[in-house]
Parts: sequence; structure tokens; C-alpha cells
Amino acid sequence: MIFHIVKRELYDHLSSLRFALTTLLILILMIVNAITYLGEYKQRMDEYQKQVVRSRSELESGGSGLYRLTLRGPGRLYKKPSPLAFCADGGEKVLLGEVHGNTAGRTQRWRSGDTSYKFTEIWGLIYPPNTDLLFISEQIPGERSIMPAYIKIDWGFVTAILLSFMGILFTFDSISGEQERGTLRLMLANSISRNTVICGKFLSAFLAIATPFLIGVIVSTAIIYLSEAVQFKGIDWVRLGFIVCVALIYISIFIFLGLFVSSRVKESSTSLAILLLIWMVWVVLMPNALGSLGHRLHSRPTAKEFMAQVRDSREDLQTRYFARIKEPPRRETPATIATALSAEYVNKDAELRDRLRADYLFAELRQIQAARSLTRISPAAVVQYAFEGLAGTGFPRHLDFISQTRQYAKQFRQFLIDTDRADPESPHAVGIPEGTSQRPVNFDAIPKFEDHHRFSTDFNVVIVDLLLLILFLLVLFIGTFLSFLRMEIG
Amino acid sequence: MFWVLLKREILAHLITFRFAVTVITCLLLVVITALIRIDDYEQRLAGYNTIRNANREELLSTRTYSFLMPRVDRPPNPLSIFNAGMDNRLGNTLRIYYTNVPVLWDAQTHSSGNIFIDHFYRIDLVFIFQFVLSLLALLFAYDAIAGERESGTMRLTMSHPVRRGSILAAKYLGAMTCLILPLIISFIIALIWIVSTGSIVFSGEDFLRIAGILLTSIIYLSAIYLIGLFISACVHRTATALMLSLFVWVVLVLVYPSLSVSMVDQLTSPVDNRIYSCEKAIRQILDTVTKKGRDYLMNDEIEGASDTFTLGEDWDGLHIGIGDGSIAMRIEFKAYDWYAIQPASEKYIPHVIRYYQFLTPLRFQAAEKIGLLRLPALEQLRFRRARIARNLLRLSPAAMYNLATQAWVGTDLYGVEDFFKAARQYRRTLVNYFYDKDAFSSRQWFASDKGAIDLDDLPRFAYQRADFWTNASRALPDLQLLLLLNLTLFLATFAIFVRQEI
Repeated sequence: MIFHIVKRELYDHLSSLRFALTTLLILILMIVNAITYLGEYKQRMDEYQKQVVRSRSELESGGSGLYRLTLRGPGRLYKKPSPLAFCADGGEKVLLGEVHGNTAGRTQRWRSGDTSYKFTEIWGLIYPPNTDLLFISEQIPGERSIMPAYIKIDWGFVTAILLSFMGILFTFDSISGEQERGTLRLMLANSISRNTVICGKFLSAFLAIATPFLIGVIVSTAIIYLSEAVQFKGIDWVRLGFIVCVALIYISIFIFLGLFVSSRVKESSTSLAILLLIWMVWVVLMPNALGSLGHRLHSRPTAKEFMAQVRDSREDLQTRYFARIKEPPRRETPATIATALSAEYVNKDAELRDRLRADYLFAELRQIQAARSLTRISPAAVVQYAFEGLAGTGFPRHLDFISQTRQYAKQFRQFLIDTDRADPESPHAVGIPEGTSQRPVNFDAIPKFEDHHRFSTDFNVVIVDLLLLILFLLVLFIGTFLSFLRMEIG
Repeated sequence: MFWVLLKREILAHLITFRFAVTVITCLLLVVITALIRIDDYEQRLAGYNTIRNANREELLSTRTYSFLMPRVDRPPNPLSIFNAGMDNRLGNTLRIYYTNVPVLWDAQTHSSGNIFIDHFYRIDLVFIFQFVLSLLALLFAYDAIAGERESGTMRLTMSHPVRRGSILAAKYLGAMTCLILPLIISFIIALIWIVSTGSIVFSGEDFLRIAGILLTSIIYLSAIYLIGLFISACVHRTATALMLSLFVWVVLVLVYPSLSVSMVDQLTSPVDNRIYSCEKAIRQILDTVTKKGRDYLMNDEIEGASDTFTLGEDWDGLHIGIGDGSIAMRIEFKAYDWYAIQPASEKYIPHVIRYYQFLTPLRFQAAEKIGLLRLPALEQLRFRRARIARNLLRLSPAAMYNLATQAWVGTDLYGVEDFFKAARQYRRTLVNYFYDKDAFSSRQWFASDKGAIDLDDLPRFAYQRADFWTNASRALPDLQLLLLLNLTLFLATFAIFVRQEI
């Protein structure tokens, strides 16, 4: 029996104007997205590769001295673009794709009597846009900031906005409409349980919405895959599979929402008005409003306060060490006390800078985290975040990239120390030219940074979103069933 | 008869459930949005006040003329509660160098919250009206003609001696009355909310601007309503009219604005090659000045030195050397404060003064020349994509509405640019001040050991937002487009409705 209901409803849906219009819109958007993505991905990938090569060749040509490496670092570190960015763009253009080091090599002068010595800052990570510690530059607006703001039309947009809209368009009259026409009574006069009716209605609406979406998914994936501009790995297909599953769960949420409201309300027009408003508030307005509100849960020091803090703590460190350094460092093995102290100072200073910058960065990132957590009241935001996580773009990916660069920086510093240890002639005081090994460093031995997309990390972030979506689904599912079972049909 | 029809239309709308629900939702959203935006404005205002005081202090501690580089700040726009626009996306603090004519791209931002957040989430009052009330307009419109035709009441009405034009006019006016009502209530609530916080003080002109926003909102809602009415007149069934209207709404309000801008963003490249030729020209100007300075030093005879004398600045201070580079004079500075001129260097001071007396006017002129090159080049290149995007956007009435209200509020590009115009003006005042004081021919240009400079009569930076009429003229193009759309739709609906068989 359920098969008959599904068939009948599905025919109704498929021959309706709303199906034709929404299918057309979804297909057009997804195909346009796929086609523009081809050029965009190629451009991003080319740029990424060019940047990595440039960064490596700079490292190679920059000379092979160990001190030079300590001073200049391994060059800029770049974020690898995700091949699945067409699913969820995640604002990759705003979340900048690189982390670099300070290479200005600013100096501090130590003085005692007639002798003086110039300490040069060694390499440490800098996270744009809070670029530099010396200059108050919170942000310098780029060319993009005068563009009108927009949401990228990717799978995330199609799902979060359009599929949810379809969900309510296909269901707002499915119970109230039948009740108005009296066909519901007729149907229930047969030996059909109410469960079957609601299941049938759900399934037919689900199929009617999922079909155009899946066609769009297949067509756009085919365009991208067959063009061979984007290389998919095995794990990317798994990610795509999850993305489609998430979208299907999300569709179900709105179908149940539609059925629920439709079963509570007598008239279709009322049901539509209520549903449209719920949709508008829940899907369109809530993520924006809560996002603007959410970051206020955490405060962040202003750039000025931050600069002052940096200046004070660095000056403090400097006074402490400069008081203890009695003579300029010399190249002498084993290292003199002054040499060891000097090297320690330079390293401590680098550590301090690194810690403060990271603190500032994390304060900024915590604000975004808070905003994202709060917006998760809206399933549209949840589904966007899940898409971003699964596609390997957006904010969680950015966090992962930053943590990878930080790990790499540690590894790089360890490499410097180990290389220096291997040289018996060195005073083993890495950080100042007098204390560092002068042997040439083998370029191949220097650890290189490569950004990796790690599925397990990405997936861990997504689990929360996935569970939230399932929670929304369950609540609405139970609500709909109870409401329909208890409904009086007049 | 017309009045009977109008009254009926108004009552029919007012008692509907959708009207009640939409209005309540709208008012709630207005309250929440106003709360968020007021809080945001207060934070930015506090940031602005702190930084302005800090800058003032920094300025007053300047001891030499060449380090007189005041920072100027753009206050947050109190009307940004209505439409945030570019207010917190573009730079709001700018250092005025006598060697640089400032443009938009030289500015930095402070206390604007979080760059990522600002990018991903947008909410303001216009945003609410743009979405919620436009939907209500469509819900009023979709069954206005098709519904009456289906239920047969249209035929009944027509049996009276009433012209079709009056029926249409009554429908339009009735629905508009019911749309304007929640709009005005929203404005009043928002205004009460804003004024009662006390932190925001509106001037008389601001109220005129708010009236402008209200007018634009009405025209926008009317355009959306007429789209619905047009569809309703074309289509025979209510259900079809509803689906078509909702579809059109989704496309015009949600999809098209994002799609068009993202296409422009993806398909056009941000950097044009012309920028390199401009950079080259700028470098040439700078090189010429440097060369003139070097030539001057070459020809300047210095006692006890047979060879040339060099002059340069590094992080430790200004140094003047003779011949082989051995430094003869060193003026060290710390935190912008020149504090020591070694006695042995005293005899070179007249040379240094003459050098600056020669070079500084050249630098001023070079800065003007570079400004003349840079301003139009950046205007052309950087604004190009934004302009294309904006023009493409104008195919959607929602975008027109957004752009027009931005213009009223002054958070559009022009409004923000006004600040930079004022900054350029201020730079000119500063240069004139230098000339008046004969600053660069004095020892105080670079050294403060004989006393710091006196800044009492330094002209202050003053920035006023553009006046009401300027805002109005900036909003006018989009307003005209919206009006044109209204007129076209009304005439089209009328033409279809008049010829229709009932």
C-alpha cells in the first residue's frame, strides 16, 4: 500500500510546476558552479605549486650556512587547496592561505662600556593578517573588501538554502491541502494506517527533492572528474559520499518540518506562511544574526594592546638578559658563558614572540569558534560546516593548517639543533652567528613543509555537526508522527 | 466605489494570519538586529575614542617637524545600524605623511571586530526588510488577481459599475498600506530603541536620511509587490502564481546577488598589467628626487672633507658620513624622539639644514605628482571589478534597494571615500603649515635638542559626513531604477488585467 501512496504522490510532485522550476534552478546553479570551478581550481593549484617551488628554491639558493637558516627560516608555508572546494568554498579567499616567518631580522644593540654587540632576531612564525609586531597593522583592506559581499554558490549554498526551501514547498500542503480537499479522509477510510500515510508522504517528497539534487551532484562531479583538471583520490570519493549523505539528512529535516506544520494547521496558506517564516528565520537570518553576536562571547585584545604587551614583555626579557651578559659573544669552543647566554636570549625572544603571536591568533580564532558554535542552532549553518569539514575547506581546515605549520616549526628548530650537535667544532649555541656550526647544510636534509589534508582530523570535527543534524531530524520526526497520529481529521 | 474596494482590500489583508505572523516576526527581528548593531556601534565608537586620544597624545609628543605624521581616524557611522555596508570593512585609520597623498588603500582598520566574522555574517535592519517584508509583499500579491478569479469574487466585483483600473489601484493601495504599516512600526521601534540607548545621537539631517531609507524601502516593497501582482495577473491558478512568485523571489533576493558577484570575482582577474606601468612611473619620480638629493650632496662643499658626504637614516638614527663612509655625525633617536647630536657633529648642522631645505620641497612636489598618478590608477584598477559587480547586481531589485540605502546612510564606497578626500585635504593643510612655519629650513626639522616644536597652532583634522543632498544624489540612480521598475510592472500588469477575460 505504501508503494501506491508513494507512487501517487511522486507523480503529483514530478508533474508540478514547483518541481520543474526548482530542478531547473538547482541544475543550472550546480553546473555553473562546476564549470567555473574548473578554472578556479587550476588557478589555485598552479599558484600553490608555484609558491611552493619558489619558496623551496629561495631556501636552496639562500646559502647553506646553519646560521642563515636559523635567521631566515624555511621560507613561506602554504596551504594546499582542497580538490573538493566546489562542495563548500568555506571562504578560502578570506582565510589566508599562508603562514610565513619574519625575515626582516631586526636588531637590538647590547652595550657595555666601549664594546657593543648587535643581536638579530631569528626566524619565527607570523600569521597573516596580524602580520607584523612592529607595525600597528590590524588589517589592511585588500581589493576584495570593496566588492559587494556575497555567498559563494556551491553545493553548500544549494543544499542549505535551496533544498530546504524545496523541502517546505513540497510539503506545506501535503496534509493540510488534503484535509482541505477532503481526500485525506477518503484515504484513511481505507485500511491504511496513519504511519503508512506519513511514511508515504515523506518518501515521495524525499525522492522528489533528492532526485534533482542527485542529478546535479552526478552531473557536476562528472564535469569536474572528466575534465581531468581535478585529481580525485580514493578518500575524496568517501568525502563526497558523506557530503551527499549529510545533504539527504538535511533534506529530511525540512520535509519533516513541513509535514509537522502542515498537520498542525488547518489551511494550506497559513501553513505556507508559517513555514516560510520559519525557513527565513532559521535558515537565512539566524546564522547571520547569531554569527554577528557570537564572537562577542570572547574578547580579543586590540592590536594596540597587543603591541604594548609584546613590547613590554620583550623589553623585560631583554633587560634581564642584558644585565647578565658581561661581554660580547665570541666564536670559541666550548662556548663561553656570554655566548651561551646570548644564544639563550635570542631563542627565548623568538619563543616569546611566537607565543604572543599565537595567543593573539587563537584569541581571534576563539571568537570565530564561538560564533560558529552559536550559529549551530540553525541547521543551515550546521550543514554548511559539515560540508566544509568534509570538503577539507573553511575554518576547521584552516585550524589544522595552522597546527601543522606550528608542528613543522618545532621540527625545523629541532633539525637546526641536531645539525649543530653533529658538528664537534661548533660551540653549540644556536641563535647567534658566533655560536653556530659553520659547516654547510645539506639542502636535502632540511625538513620540508607540506600541507596534508587529513581525513581523520576533518572527520572528527564533522561528527558534532552530523550528530546535531540527526538530532534535529529525530526531534522533527517524532514531532511529526505524534502530531499526525493525534490529529483530528474533519 | 473605489473607497469600498480599498477598505475591503485593507481589511482582507489585515485580518489574515500571515499578516499577523509576518509582522510579529519582523518586529522581533528588528528588535534583535537593532540590539546587535547598536552594541556593535558602541564598541566601535569606544574603540574610535580610545584610538583618537592615543593618537592625539602621540602627536603632542612629537618633537621634530619631520616626524609630524598625525594619524586621523574615521568615526563609525551611527546610521550603520540601518545598513552596515562598507563601514567596518574598509580602513578607518590613516597616517598622514607629508610625502604621500593618502588613498583608501593606505588606511588600516582598528576595533572593527573580527575580519572573518565580518565577512561571513551580515545583519542589519535593511537586511531584515529586504527579506522578511518582501516575502510578505509576495504573499499579499500572489492571490490578489488569480485568487479572486478562481473564487469568482472578481466577477462579482466587475458586475458593479467599476473600472478595472480602480480595482487594480485599490488592490495596489490596499496591499501597500498593509506593507507600509509594519515598516513604519519597525522604523519607530528601531528609532526608540536606538535613541533610548543614549550613545547614539542623531542630527536633524540623520532623520532626513532615515526618511530617505523609509522611502526607498517603500519603493522596494512596492516593486516586489508589483512583481507578485504581475505574476498573479498572468497566471490562471493561484497555486501556480504562488510557486512562480516564490521562485522569482528566491532567484532575485537570494541567488542572483551572490551568483553575479561571485562570477565577477572568479572570472575577472584582480591585477591589471597597467598597474605595473604606473608603478614604474612612480619609481621614476622617486629616483629623480633621490638623484637630485645625491647630486646636491656631491656639490656641497664641506670643510675639512675633500670628498662627498652621505646622509642616510636607519633604525638607529640619522647618520652623515664623509668619503669612505666613516661616520662623522650620528644623531640617534629613540621612539621618534631625536635626542642627541654629538658636539663634534655640530659644524655639519648648517649643511644638513641646507640639504633639507633643498630636498623637502622636492619631496612635497614628488608626492603630489605621485598622487596624481596613483589616485586615478587605483581608482581605475581596484574599483573596476567592484564597479562591474555593482552594475550587474542592479538587475535585482533587492540589490538596488541595498545599494540605495547604503548611499542614504553613507556607508557606500562614496561615503567612505569622503573620509579620504578629507584626509587629502588635511595633508595639504599640513604641508601649508610647514611652509608657513618655514619648518624644513629649521633645525627643528630633524633635531629637538634646542627645544621641541610647538604644536599649539597645528590645524586639526575635521571630518564631516557628506550632507543630506549629497547622499540623496548618490541614492538617486538606484532609486530611479526602482521607480522605473515599479512603473513598468504596474503598466504591464494594468495592460494584462484590462484585456483579460474574467
